[in-house]
Amino acid sequence: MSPATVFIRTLLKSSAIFIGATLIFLHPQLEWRSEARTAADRTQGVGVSAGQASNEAAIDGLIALLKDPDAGVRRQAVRSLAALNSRRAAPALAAAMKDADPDMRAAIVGALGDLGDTSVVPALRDALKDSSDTVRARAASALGDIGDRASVDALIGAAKDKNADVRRRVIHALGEIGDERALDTLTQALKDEDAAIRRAAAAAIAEIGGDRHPHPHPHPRPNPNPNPNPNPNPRVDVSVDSATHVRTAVHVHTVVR
Amino acid sequence: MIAALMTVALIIAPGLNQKDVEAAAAGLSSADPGVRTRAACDLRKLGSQAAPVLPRLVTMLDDGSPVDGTICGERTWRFGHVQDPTTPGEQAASAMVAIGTPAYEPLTKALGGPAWIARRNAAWGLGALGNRSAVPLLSRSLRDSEAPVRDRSAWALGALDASEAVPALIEALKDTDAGVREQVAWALGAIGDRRAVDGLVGALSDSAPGVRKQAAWALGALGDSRAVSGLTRCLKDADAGVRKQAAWALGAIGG
Repeated sequence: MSPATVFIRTLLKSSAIFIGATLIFLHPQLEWRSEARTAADRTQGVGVSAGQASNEAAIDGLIALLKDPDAGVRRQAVRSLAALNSRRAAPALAAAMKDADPDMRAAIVGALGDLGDTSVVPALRDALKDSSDTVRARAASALGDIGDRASVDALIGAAKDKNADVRRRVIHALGEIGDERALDTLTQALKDEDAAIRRAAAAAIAEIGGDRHPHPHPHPRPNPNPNPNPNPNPRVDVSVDSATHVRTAVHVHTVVR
Repeated sequence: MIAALMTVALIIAPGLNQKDVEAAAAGLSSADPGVRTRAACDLRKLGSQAAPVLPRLVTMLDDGSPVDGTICGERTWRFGHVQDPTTPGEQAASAMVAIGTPAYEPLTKALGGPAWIARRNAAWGLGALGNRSAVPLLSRSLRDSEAPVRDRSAWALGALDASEAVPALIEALKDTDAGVREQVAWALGAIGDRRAVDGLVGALSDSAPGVRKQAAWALGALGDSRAVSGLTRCLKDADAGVRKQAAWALGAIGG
Protein backbone atom coordinates (compact mmCIF):
# COMPACT_ATOMS: atom_id res chain seq x y z
CA MET A 1 0.00 0.00 0.00
CA SER A 2 1.46 3.29 -1.08
CA PRO A 3 1.58 6.23 1.29
CA ALA A 4 -0.79 8.12 -1.01
CA THR A 5 -3.43 5.34 -0.77
CA VAL A 6 -3.08 5.25 3.02
CA PHE A 7 -3.56 9.01 3.14
CA ILE A 8 -6.68 8.89 0.99
CA ARG A 9 -8.19 5.99 3.01
CA THR A 10 -7.56 7.84 6.26
CA LEU A 11 -9.09 10.97 4.80
CA LEU A 12 -12.18 9.07 3.64
CA LYS A 13 -12.57 7.34 7.04
CA SER A 14 -12.29 10.57 8.99
CA SER A 15 -14.64 12.42 6.66
CA ALA A 16 -17.13 9.55 6.98
CA ILE A 17 -16.93 9.89 10.75
CA PHE A 18 -17.35 13.64 10.41
CA ILE A 19 -20.38 13.30 8.14
CA GLY A 20 -21.93 10.73 10.46
CA ALA A 21 -21.41 12.94 13.49
CA THR A 22 -22.87 15.90 11.64
CA LEU A 23 -25.94 13.88 10.68
CA ILE A 24 -26.47 12.72 14.25
CA PHE A 25 -26.06 16.27 15.46
CA LEU A 26 -28.40 17.67 12.84
CA HIS A 27 -31.02 14.98 13.06
CA PRO A 28 -33.01 16.33 15.99
CA GLN A 29 -32.77 19.71 14.43
CA LEU A 30 -34.32 18.36 11.21
CA GLU A 31 -37.05 16.87 13.35
CA TRP A 32 -37.61 20.17 15.05
CA ARG A 33 -37.64 22.02 11.76
CA SER A 34 -40.28 19.74 10.32
CA GLU A 35 -42.39 20.14 13.43
CA ALA A 36 -42.08 23.88 13.16
CA ARG A 37 -43.19 23.63 9.56
CA THR A 38 -46.29 21.61 10.32
CA ALA A 39 -47.16 24.07 13.05
CA ALA A 40 -46.86 26.90 10.54
CA ASP A 41 -48.91 24.95 8.04
CA ARG A 42 -51.51 24.42 10.66
CA THR A 43 -51.90 28.10 11.31
CA GLN A 44 -51.66 29.10 7.65
CA GLY A 45 -53.89 26.35 6.32
CA VAL A 46 -56.78 26.85 8.70
CA GLY A 47 -59.24 26.64 5.82
CA VAL A 48 -57.96 23.28 4.67
CA SER A 49 -57.87 21.60 8.07
CA ALA A 50 -61.24 23.11 9.00
CA GLY A 51 -62.60 21.67 5.76
CA GLN A 52 -61.17 18.27 6.60
CA ALA A 53 -62.60 18.45 10.09
CA SER A 54 -66.05 19.31 8.76
CA ASN A 55 -65.84 16.42 6.30
CA GLU A 56 -64.99 14.09 9.16
CA ALA A 57 -68.02 15.42 11.04
CA ALA A 58 -70.15 14.87 7.96
CA ILE A 59 -68.97 11.26 7.72
CA ASP A 60 -69.74 10.76 11.43
CA GLY A 61 -73.20 12.16 10.84
CA LEU A 62 -73.76 9.89 7.85
CA ILE A 63 -72.58 6.86 9.83
CA ALA A 64 -75.11 7.76 12.53
CA LEU A 65 -77.83 7.87 9.85
CA LEU A 66 -77.19 4.19 9.09
CA LYS A 67 -79.51 3.59 12.08
CA ASP A 68 -82.16 6.12 11.01
CA PRO A 69 -85.77 4.95 11.46
CA ASP A 70 -86.50 5.85 7.82
CA ALA A 71 -85.27 3.22 5.33
CA GLY A 72 -84.88 5.80 2.54
CA VAL A 73 -82.63 7.92 4.75
CA ARG A 74 -80.52 4.88 5.67
CA ARG A 75 -80.04 3.91 2.02
CA GLN A 76 -79.09 7.46 1.09
CA ALA A 77 -76.52 7.54 3.90
CA VAL A 78 -74.97 4.38 2.42
CA ARG A 79 -74.80 5.89 -1.05
CA SER A 80 -73.29 9.13 0.22
CA LEU A 81 -70.65 7.33 2.28
CA ALA A 82 -69.72 5.43 -0.88
CA ALA A 83 -69.62 8.68 -2.85
CA LEU A 84 -67.33 10.20 -0.21
CA ASN A 85 -65.17 7.08 -0.53
CA SER A 86 -64.93 6.89 3.22
CA ARG A 87 -62.97 3.78 4.20
CA ARG A 88 -63.46 4.78 7.82
CA ALA A 89 -67.13 3.96 7.31
CA ALA A 90 -66.41 0.38 6.24
CA PRO A 91 -66.87 -1.23 9.71
CA ALA A 92 -70.13 0.64 10.31
CA LEU A 93 -71.37 -0.36 6.86
CA ALA A 94 -70.46 -4.00 7.52
CA ALA A 95 -72.31 -3.85 10.85
CA ALA A 96 -75.36 -2.39 9.10
CA MET A 97 -75.62 -5.58 7.03
CA LYS A 98 -77.95 -6.76 9.84
CA ASP A 99 -80.56 -4.33 8.48
CA ALA A 100 -83.94 -5.97 7.85
CA ASP A 101 -84.43 -4.08 4.58
CA PRO A 102 -82.98 -6.07 1.63
CA ASP A 103 -82.65 -2.90 -0.46
CA MET A 104 -80.54 -1.40 2.31
CA ARG A 105 -78.31 -4.49 2.40
CA ALA A 106 -77.99 -4.40 -1.39
CA ALA A 107 -76.98 -0.74 -1.22
CA ILE A 108 -74.38 -1.54 1.46
CA VAL A 109 -72.89 -4.37 -0.59
CA GLY A 110 -72.59 -2.00 -3.55
CA ALA A 111 -70.93 0.59 -1.34
CA LEU A 112 -68.51 -1.94 0.14
CA GLY A 113 -67.55 -3.00 -3.37
CA ASP A 114 -66.99 0.65 -4.32
CA LEU A 115 -64.76 1.18 -1.31
CA GLY A 116 -62.72 -1.70 -2.73
CA ASP A 117 -60.81 -2.30 0.47
CA THR A 118 -59.81 -5.86 1.35
CA SER A 119 -60.97 -5.21 4.94
CA VAL A 120 -64.57 -5.51 3.74
CA VAL A 121 -64.06 -8.97 2.22
CA PRO A 122 -65.38 -10.90 5.27
CA ALA A 123 -68.62 -8.90 5.26
CA LEU A 124 -69.02 -9.53 1.53
CA ARG A 125 -68.32 -13.24 1.98
CA ASP A 126 -71.15 -13.36 4.54
CA ALA A 127 -73.38 -11.52 2.07
CA LEU A 128 -72.98 -14.41 -0.36
CA LYS A 129 -75.32 -16.28 2.03
CA ASP A 130 -77.91 -13.47 2.27
CA SER A 131 -81.58 -14.34 1.81
CA SER A 132 -81.94 -11.71 -0.96
CA ASP A 133 -80.92 -12.66 -4.52
CA THR A 134 -79.89 -9.08 -5.26
CA VAL A 135 -77.62 -8.93 -2.22
CA ARG A 136 -75.91 -12.22 -3.10
CA ALA A 137 -75.48 -11.20 -6.73
CA ARG A 138 -74.00 -7.82 -5.85
CA ALA A 139 -71.73 -9.37 -3.24
CA ALA A 140 -70.30 -11.72 -5.87
CA SER A 141 -69.59 -8.84 -8.25
CA ALA A 142 -68.06 -6.74 -5.47
CA LEU A 143 -65.74 -9.59 -4.50
CA GLY A 144 -64.69 -9.93 -8.13
CA ASP A 145 -63.97 -6.20 -8.32
CA ILE A 146 -61.87 -6.29 -5.16
CA GLY A 147 -60.04 -9.36 -6.48
CA ASP A 148 -58.83 -10.73 -3.16
CA ARG A 149 -57.85 -14.42 -3.22
CA ALA A 150 -59.25 -14.77 0.30
CA SER A 151 -62.72 -14.77 -1.20
CA VAL A 152 -62.14 -17.66 -3.63
CA ASP A 153 -63.41 -20.45 -1.34
CA ALA A 154 -66.58 -18.58 -0.46
CA LEU A 155 -67.19 -17.87 -4.16
CA ILE A 156 -66.65 -21.53 -5.05
CA GLY A 157 -69.35 -22.37 -2.48
CA ALA A 158 -71.67 -19.79 -4.02
CA ALA A 159 -71.22 -21.27 -7.50
CA LYS A 160 -74.05 -23.66 -6.62
CA ASP A 161 -76.47 -20.81 -5.81
CA LYS A 162 -80.09 -21.48 -6.83
CA ASN A 163 -80.29 -18.12 -8.60
CA ALA A 164 -78.79 -18.05 -12.11
CA ASP A 165 -77.82 -14.36 -11.94
CA VAL A 166 -75.88 -15.02 -8.74
CA ARG A 167 -74.10 -18.00 -10.32
CA ARG A 168 -73.20 -16.00 -13.41
CA ARG A 169 -71.69 -13.20 -11.32
CA VAL A 170 -69.86 -15.71 -9.15
CA ILE A 171 -68.29 -17.34 -12.22
CA HIS A 172 -67.35 -13.93 -13.59
CA ALA A 173 -65.81 -12.95 -10.25
CA LEU A 174 -63.78 -16.15 -10.12
CA GLY A 175 -62.44 -15.32 -13.56
CA GLU A 176 -61.55 -11.81 -12.43
CA ILE A 177 -59.69 -13.08 -9.37
CA GLY A 178 -57.96 -15.63 -11.55
CA ASP A 179 -57.09 -18.21 -8.90
CA GLU A 180 -56.42 -21.74 -10.20
CA ARG A 181 -58.31 -23.30 -7.26
CA ALA A 182 -61.48 -22.24 -9.10
CA LEU A 183 -60.76 -24.30 -12.21
CA ASP A 184 -62.81 -27.35 -11.10
CA THR A 185 -65.81 -25.19 -10.29
CA LEU A 186 -65.47 -23.34 -13.56
CA THR A 187 -65.23 -26.57 -15.53
CA GLN A 188 -68.45 -27.78 -13.89
CA ALA A 189 -70.10 -24.47 -14.78
CA LEU A 190 -69.43 -25.24 -18.44
CA LYS A 191 -72.38 -27.64 -18.07
CA ASP A 192 -74.71 -25.13 -16.41
CA GLU A 193 -78.25 -24.99 -17.78
CA ASP A 194 -77.84 -21.24 -18.30
CA ALA A 195 -76.04 -20.29 -21.55
CA ALA A 196 -74.70 -17.01 -20.15
CA ILE A 197 -73.09 -18.90 -17.29
CA ARG A 198 -71.50 -21.39 -19.69
CA ARG A 199 -70.05 -18.49 -21.69
CA ALA A 200 -68.82 -16.74 -18.52
CA ALA A 201 -67.20 -19.98 -17.37
CA ALA A 202 -65.41 -20.46 -20.68
CA ALA A 203 -64.15 -16.87 -20.55
CA ALA A 204 -63.01 -17.29 -16.94
CA ILE A 205 -61.13 -20.49 -17.72
CA ALA A 206 -59.43 -18.79 -20.66
CA GLU A 207 -58.49 -15.89 -18.41
CA ILE A 208 -57.01 -18.11 -15.70
CA GLY A 209 -55.26 -20.38 -18.17
CA GLY A 210 -53.92 -17.59 -20.33
CA ASP A 211 -52.67 -15.36 -17.56
CA ARG A 212 -49.33 -16.60 -16.32
CA HIS A 213 -48.41 -13.38 -14.62
CA PRO A 214 -47.75 -13.52 -10.90
CA HIS A 215 -50.28 -10.75 -10.44
CA PRO A 216 -53.53 -12.38 -9.37
CA HIS A 217 -55.69 -9.74 -10.95
CA PRO A 218 -55.82 -9.31 -14.73
CA HIS A 219 -56.24 -5.57 -14.33
CA PRO A 220 -54.35 -4.20 -11.33
CA ARG A 221 -56.42 -1.51 -9.69
CA PRO A 222 -54.27 0.74 -7.56
CA ASN A 223 -57.19 3.09 -7.05
CA PRO A 224 -60.32 0.99 -6.75
CA ASN A 225 -62.52 4.05 -6.78
CA PRO A 226 -61.16 6.77 -9.06
CA ASN A 227 -64.65 8.02 -9.80
CA PRO A 228 -65.81 10.26 -6.93
CA ASN A 229 -69.37 9.24 -7.66
CA PRO A 230 -69.16 5.50 -8.18
CA ASN A 231 -72.78 4.57 -7.60
CA PRO A 232 -74.64 4.07 -10.88
CA ASN A 233 -76.60 7.21 -10.27
CA PRO A 234 -76.86 8.13 -6.63
CA ARG A 235 -77.59 11.76 -7.30
CA VAL A 236 -80.58 11.31 -9.49
CA ASP A 237 -82.54 9.41 -6.93
CA VAL A 238 -83.03 12.28 -4.59
CA SER A 239 -82.29 15.31 -6.66
CA VAL A 240 -84.88 14.48 -9.25
CA ASP A 241 -87.20 13.59 -6.45
CA SER A 242 -86.99 16.99 -4.92
CA ALA A 243 -86.40 19.07 -8.00
CA THR A 244 -89.48 17.64 -9.58
CA HIS A 245 -91.26 18.03 -6.32
CA VAL A 246 -91.18 21.75 -6.87
CA ARG A 247 -91.29 21.67 -10.64
CA THR A 248 -94.47 19.67 -10.35
CA ALA A 249 -96.14 22.55 -8.66
CA VAL A 250 -95.26 24.73 -11.58
CA HIS A 251 -95.69 22.51 -14.57
CA VAL A 252 -99.41 22.43 -14.35
CA HIS A 253 -99.30 23.61 -17.93
CA THR A 254 -98.26 21.31 -20.66
CA VAL A 255 -95.00 22.57 -22.04
CA VAL A 256 -94.50 22.31 -25.74
CA ARG A 257 -91.55 24.05 -27.25
CA MET B 1 -98.11 4.65 -52.58
CA ILE B 2 -97.17 5.78 -49.06
CA ALA B 3 -95.21 8.69 -50.48
CA ALA B 4 -98.23 9.73 -52.51
CA LEU B 5 -100.46 9.61 -49.44
CA MET B 6 -97.97 11.67 -47.48
CA THR B 7 -97.83 14.26 -50.25
CA VAL B 8 -101.63 14.52 -50.26
CA ALA B 9 -101.59 14.83 -46.48
CA LEU B 10 -99.01 17.61 -46.65
CA ILE B 11 -101.09 19.49 -49.22
CA ILE B 12 -104.34 19.32 -47.27
CA ALA B 13 -102.79 19.67 -43.78
CA PRO B 14 -102.57 23.51 -43.73
CA GLY B 15 -106.20 23.73 -44.80
CA LEU B 16 -107.24 21.34 -42.04
CA ASN B 17 -105.23 23.26 -39.46
CA GLN B 18 -106.86 26.48 -40.58
CA LYS B 19 -110.21 24.86 -39.86
CA ASP B 20 -108.88 23.52 -36.54
CA VAL B 21 -107.78 27.00 -35.49
CA GLU B 22 -111.22 28.39 -36.24
CA ALA B 23 -112.96 25.50 -34.49
CA ALA B 24 -110.79 25.80 -31.38
CA ALA B 25 -111.10 29.57 -31.33
CA ALA B 26 -114.88 29.17 -31.24
CA GLY B 27 -114.51 27.14 -28.03
CA LEU B 28 -112.55 29.96 -26.38
CA SER B 29 -115.77 31.98 -25.93
CA SER B 30 -117.80 29.11 -24.43
CA ALA B 31 -119.55 29.66 -21.10
CA ASP B 32 -118.22 26.28 -19.91
CA PRO B 33 -114.69 26.58 -18.46
CA GLY B 34 -114.03 22.97 -19.48
CA VAL B 35 -114.73 23.80 -23.13
CA ARG B 36 -112.58 26.95 -22.92
CA THR B 37 -109.71 24.94 -21.45
CA ARG B 38 -110.05 22.23 -24.05
CA ALA B 39 -110.01 24.87 -26.82
CA ALA B 40 -106.77 26.32 -25.49
CA CYS B 41 -105.25 22.81 -25.36
CA ASP B 42 -106.23 22.21 -28.98
CA LEU B 43 -104.66 25.51 -30.01
CA ARG B 44 -101.46 24.59 -28.21
CA LYS B 45 -101.15 21.49 -30.37
CA LEU B 46 -101.30 23.68 -33.46
CA GLY B 47 -98.24 25.63 -32.31
CA SER B 48 -97.37 28.77 -34.24
CA GLN B 49 -100.37 28.30 -36.52
CA ALA B 50 -102.53 29.54 -33.67
CA ALA B 51 -100.87 32.99 -33.91
CA PRO B 52 -104.02 34.67 -35.37
CA VAL B 53 -105.91 34.00 -32.11
CA LEU B 54 -103.10 35.34 -29.90
CA PRO B 55 -105.13 38.43 -28.78
CA ARG B 56 -107.96 36.17 -27.58
CA LEU B 57 -105.55 33.96 -25.64
CA VAL B 58 -104.17 37.07 -23.94
CA THR B 59 -107.63 38.05 -22.66
CA MET B 60 -108.01 34.51 -21.28
CA LEU B 61 -104.85 34.65 -19.14
CA ASP B 62 -106.79 35.83 -16.07
CA ASP B 63 -109.34 33.00 -16.34
CA GLY B 64 -108.82 31.01 -13.14
CA SER B 65 -111.85 28.70 -13.17
CA PRO B 66 -110.67 25.35 -11.85
CA VAL B 67 -111.04 22.53 -14.37
CA ASP B 68 -110.22 18.84 -14.13
CA GLY B 69 -106.59 18.30 -15.12
CA THR B 70 -107.41 15.44 -17.47
CA ILE B 71 -109.67 17.61 -19.65
CA CYS B 72 -107.00 17.95 -22.32
CA GLY B 73 -107.08 14.23 -22.94
CA GLU B 74 -103.55 12.94 -23.23
CA ARG B 75 -101.40 12.39 -20.23
CA THR B 76 -98.90 15.20 -20.18
CA TRP B 77 -95.35 14.97 -18.90
CA ARG B 78 -96.32 16.27 -15.49
CA PHE B 79 -94.94 14.11 -12.70
CA GLY B 80 -97.57 12.32 -10.75
CA HIS B 81 -100.38 14.68 -10.00
CA VAL B 82 -102.44 14.25 -13.17
CA GLN B 83 -105.61 14.90 -11.22
CA ASP B 84 -104.43 18.39 -10.26
CA PRO B 85 -106.90 20.97 -11.52
CA THR B 86 -105.91 23.27 -14.33
CA THR B 87 -107.50 26.50 -15.54
CA PRO B 88 -108.34 28.03 -18.94
CA GLY B 89 -105.77 30.74 -18.14
CA GLU B 90 -102.97 28.23 -17.61
CA GLN B 91 -103.74 26.47 -20.84
CA ALA B 92 -103.97 29.81 -22.65
CA ALA B 93 -100.46 30.63 -21.41
CA SER B 94 -99.33 27.22 -22.61
CA ALA B 95 -100.84 27.85 -26.07
CA MET B 96 -99.09 31.25 -26.15
CA VAL B 97 -95.76 29.60 -25.39
CA ALA B 98 -96.42 27.17 -28.24
CA ILE B 99 -96.97 30.11 -30.60
CA GLY B 100 -93.51 31.33 -29.71
CA THR B 101 -91.83 34.71 -30.25
CA PRO B 102 -95.00 36.74 -31.01
CA ALA B 103 -96.26 35.84 -27.51
CA TYR B 104 -93.32 37.51 -25.72
CA GLU B 105 -94.62 41.10 -25.81
CA PRO B 106 -98.18 40.25 -24.65
CA LEU B 107 -96.80 38.09 -21.82
CA THR B 108 -94.57 40.91 -20.53
CA LYS B 109 -97.59 43.23 -20.59
CA ALA B 110 -99.69 40.71 -18.68
CA LEU B 111 -96.91 40.36 -16.09
CA GLY B 112 -97.37 44.07 -15.31
CA GLY B 113 -101.17 43.91 -15.46
CA PRO B 114 -103.77 44.33 -12.70
CA ALA B 115 -105.08 40.72 -12.56
CA TRP B 116 -102.86 38.51 -10.40
CA ILE B 117 -103.98 35.28 -12.07
CA ALA B 118 -102.85 36.68 -15.40
CA ARG B 119 -99.55 37.81 -13.84
CA ARG B 120 -98.97 34.32 -12.48
CA ASN B 121 -99.69 32.63 -15.81
CA ALA B 122 -97.57 35.20 -17.65
CA ALA B 123 -94.63 34.61 -15.29
CA TRP B 124 -94.81 30.91 -16.04
CA GLY B 125 -95.13 31.60 -19.77
CA LEU B 126 -92.08 33.85 -19.80
CA GLY B 127 -90.03 31.16 -18.09
CA ALA B 128 -91.23 28.49 -20.51
CA LEU B 129 -90.72 30.73 -23.55
CA GLY B 130 -86.99 30.91 -22.83
CA ASN B 131 -86.33 34.52 -23.79
CA ARG B 132 -83.83 35.87 -21.27
CA SER B 133 -84.83 39.50 -21.91
CA ALA B 134 -87.62 38.83 -19.40
CA VAL B 135 -85.17 38.42 -16.49
CA PRO B 136 -85.36 42.02 -15.14
CA LEU B 137 -89.16 41.96 -15.23
CA LEU B 138 -89.32 38.58 -13.51
CA SER B 139 -86.81 39.73 -10.86
CA ARG B 140 -89.15 42.62 -10.08
CA SER B 141 -92.08 40.19 -9.86
CA LEU B 142 -90.30 38.41 -7.01
CA ARG B 143 -91.73 41.31 -4.96
CA ASP B 144 -95.29 40.99 -6.33
CA SER B 145 -98.08 41.34 -3.75
CA GLU B 146 -99.42 37.86 -4.61
CA ALA B 147 -97.53 34.73 -3.54
CA PRO B 148 -98.42 32.62 -6.63
CA VAL B 149 -96.95 35.32 -8.87
CA ARG B 150 -93.72 35.37 -6.83
CA ASP B 151 -93.65 31.56 -6.91
CA ARG B 152 -93.91 31.31 -10.71
CA SER B 153 -91.46 34.18 -11.17
CA ALA B 154 -88.89 32.31 -9.09
CA TRP B 155 -89.48 29.19 -11.16
CA ALA B 156 -89.18 31.16 -14.39
CA LEU B 157 -85.86 32.69 -13.29
CA GLY B 158 -84.53 29.23 -12.52
CA ALA B 159 -85.80 27.91 -15.84
CA LEU B 160 -84.10 30.81 -17.65
CA ASP B 161 -80.84 30.07 -15.75
CA ALA B 162 -80.79 33.75 -14.81
CA SER B 163 -77.53 34.24 -12.89
CA GLU B 164 -78.08 38.02 -12.95
CA ALA B 165 -81.17 37.44 -10.79
CA VAL B 166 -79.22 35.63 -8.04
CA PRO B 167 -79.06 38.64 -5.64
CA ALA B 168 -82.83 39.18 -5.98
CA LEU B 169 -83.46 35.46 -5.43
CA ILE B 170 -81.23 35.40 -2.33
CA GLU B 171 -83.34 38.26 -0.98
CA ALA B 172 -86.47 36.25 -1.83
CA LEU B 173 -85.30 33.39 0.41
CA LYS B 174 -86.83 35.58 3.17
CA ASP B 175 -90.26 35.61 1.51
CA THR B 176 -93.21 35.35 3.92
CA ASP B 177 -94.68 32.42 1.97
CA ALA B 178 -93.05 29.01 2.49
CA GLY B 179 -94.02 27.77 -0.98
CA VAL B 180 -92.27 30.74 -2.54
CA ARG B 181 -89.14 30.19 -0.45
CA GLU B 182 -89.07 26.56 -1.57
CA GLN B 183 -89.35 27.56 -5.21
CA VAL B 184 -86.64 30.20 -4.76
CA ALA B 185 -84.29 27.61 -3.24
CA TRP B 186 -84.95 25.39 -6.24
CA ALA B 187 -84.18 28.25 -8.64
CA LEU B 188 -80.89 29.04 -6.87
CA GLY B 189 -79.85 25.40 -7.12
CA ALA B 190 -80.88 25.23 -10.77
CA ILE B 191 -78.90 28.36 -11.63
CA GLY B 192 -75.93 27.00 -9.71
CA ASP B 193 -74.28 30.28 -8.75
CA ARG B 194 -72.02 29.96 -5.69
CA ARG B 195 -72.96 33.41 -4.41
CA ALA B 196 -76.09 31.69 -3.12
CA VAL B 197 -74.25 29.40 -0.66
CA ASP B 198 -74.61 31.58 2.45
CA GLY B 199 -78.27 32.33 1.81
CA LEU B 200 -79.06 28.68 1.21
CA VAL B 201 -77.17 27.57 4.32
CA GLY B 202 -79.38 30.03 6.20
CA ALA B 203 -82.44 28.44 4.59
CA LEU B 204 -81.38 25.08 6.09
CA SER B 205 -82.80 26.49 9.35
CA ASP B 206 -86.10 27.54 7.75
CA SER B 207 -89.24 26.77 9.76
CA ALA B 208 -90.78 24.85 6.83
CA PRO B 209 -89.37 21.35 6.17
CA GLY B 210 -90.03 21.71 2.44
CA VAL B 211 -87.76 24.75 2.30
CA ARG B 212 -85.01 23.04 4.29
CA LYS B 213 -85.18 20.04 1.98
CA GLN B 214 -85.07 22.14 -1.16
CA ALA B 215 -82.17 24.21 0.22
CA ALA B 216 -80.26 21.00 0.94
CA TRP B 217 -80.88 19.90 -2.63
CA ALA B 218 -79.70 23.24 -3.97
CA LEU B 219 -76.51 23.13 -1.90
CA GLY B 220 -75.77 19.66 -3.22
CA ALA B 221 -76.33 20.97 -6.73
CA LEU B 222 -73.95 23.89 -6.09
CA GLY B 223 -71.32 21.47 -4.78
CA ASP B 224 -69.58 24.04 -2.59
CA SER B 225 -67.76 22.60 0.44
CA ARG B 226 -68.66 25.67 2.55
CA ALA B 227 -72.08 24.06 2.97
CA VAL B 228 -70.74 20.89 4.62
CA SER B 229 -71.14 22.04 8.25
CA GLY B 230 -74.67 23.27 7.75
CA LEU B 231 -75.67 20.10 5.93
CA THR B 232 -74.11 17.96 8.64
CA ARG B 233 -76.36 19.67 11.20
CA CYS B 234 -79.33 18.82 8.94
CA LEU B 235 -78.55 15.10 9.27
CA LYS B 236 -80.30 15.41 12.65
CA ASP B 237 -83.34 17.23 11.27
CA ALA B 238 -86.72 16.14 12.63
CA ASP B 239 -87.98 15.61 9.07
CA ALA B 240 -86.87 12.39 7.31
CA GLY B 241 -87.05 14.04 3.89
CA VAL B 242 -84.62 16.74 5.02
CA ARG B 243 -82.23 14.18 6.50
CA LYS B 244 -82.25 12.18 3.28
CA GLN B 245 -81.70 15.24 1.12
CA ALA B 246 -78.87 16.48 3.34
CA ALA B 247 -77.22 13.04 3.20
CA TRP B 248 -77.50 13.13 -0.58
CA ALA B 249 -76.04 16.64 -0.75
CA LEU B 250 -73.03 15.70 1.37
CA GLY B 251 -72.30 12.82 -0.98
CA ALA B 252 -72.77 15.08 -4.00
CA ILE B 253 -70.38 17.73 -2.64
CA GLY B 254 -67.76 15.04 -2.04
CA GLY B 255 -64.73 14.92 0.19
